[in-house]
Amino acid sequence: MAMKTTFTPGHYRRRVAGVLARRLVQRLWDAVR
Amino acid sequence: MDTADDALPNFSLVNASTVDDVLKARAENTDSKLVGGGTDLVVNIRRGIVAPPVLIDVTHVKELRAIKADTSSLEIGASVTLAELAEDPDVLRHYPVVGGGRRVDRRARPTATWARSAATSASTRAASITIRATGGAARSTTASRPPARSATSRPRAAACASRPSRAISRRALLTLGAEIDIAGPAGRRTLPARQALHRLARQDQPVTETLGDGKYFRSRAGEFVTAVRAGNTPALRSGYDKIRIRRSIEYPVCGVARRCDATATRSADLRVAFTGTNPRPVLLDGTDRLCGGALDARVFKGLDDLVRDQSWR
Repeated sequence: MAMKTTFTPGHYRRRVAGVLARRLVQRLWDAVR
Repeated sequence: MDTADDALPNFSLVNASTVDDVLKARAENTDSKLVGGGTDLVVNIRRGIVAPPVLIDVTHVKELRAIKADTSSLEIGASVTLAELAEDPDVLRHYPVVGGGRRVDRRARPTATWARSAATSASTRAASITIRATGGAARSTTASRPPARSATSRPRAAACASRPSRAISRRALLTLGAEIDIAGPAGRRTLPARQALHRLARQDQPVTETLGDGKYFRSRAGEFVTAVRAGNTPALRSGYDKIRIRRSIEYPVCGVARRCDATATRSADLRVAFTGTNPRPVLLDGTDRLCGGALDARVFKGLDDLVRDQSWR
């Protein structure tokens, strides 16, 4: 059965990676305070 | 054509109980491959992509199944499953970024991902510890006898081939400054995790002392991963998260570790690792410049810039 996937452009993935990094840093910061 | 139910070709199975057994078996069978569960290897054998005449079962090697986690260090044997890791109370207590993946393939092996490139390597490099599953495919086979179809049924293969957590620990361990223990014909050595991976995969490169197998991982001929180790940094807090982009097979996964100063008002240490954007996991350079102050717009802007500049390398 064919796998239904699409290629996600790199610039979009990089933006998402940045969002993840910010979100995690914020979460860890909030956990300490 | 769906080949999931095709019978496996004949192969011999060697059961190893020590690392020395593995090395000896590999030396005697240069075309062999290591098998822990078969999530990559057995599927590829069934599809005719590879046909090793000898498989070496490493699932009973005690040294490869050890988990040691305390306030000073972490050690994960190469055959430890992600489920074992995620359920280990000491790992969860001291290294949440390692054990904190929410979705866990119960058979997946975290350290395996460090060496998976060797699975398709030249025959002189016998095998890798690429196996992420303890599924019945390998165990159900006996020497030179293809297993019954029921032993390698499609549901099991499909389950073993699932990907949800295969890459959790590479990012997580990068943030912890991990080292990789390797065993091979020339003895044992340790490689910093950050240096273990190439920037790009090259399938046509020969094995060399400096570039390893030429496909991501800097292993030499006959070597395999025995464990991954990391030290603990007091007060370092860590987390892991990912975003699955709908219908994409490549998606960003991120691990972050952060340590505050004694007053909890300033960052003293910040480490960010991710993938889904590059051929290999990335540990961001330059995050030290974002420390020393509160978490403000300057830090977020700096983080964005670092991700933007380094997520394509």
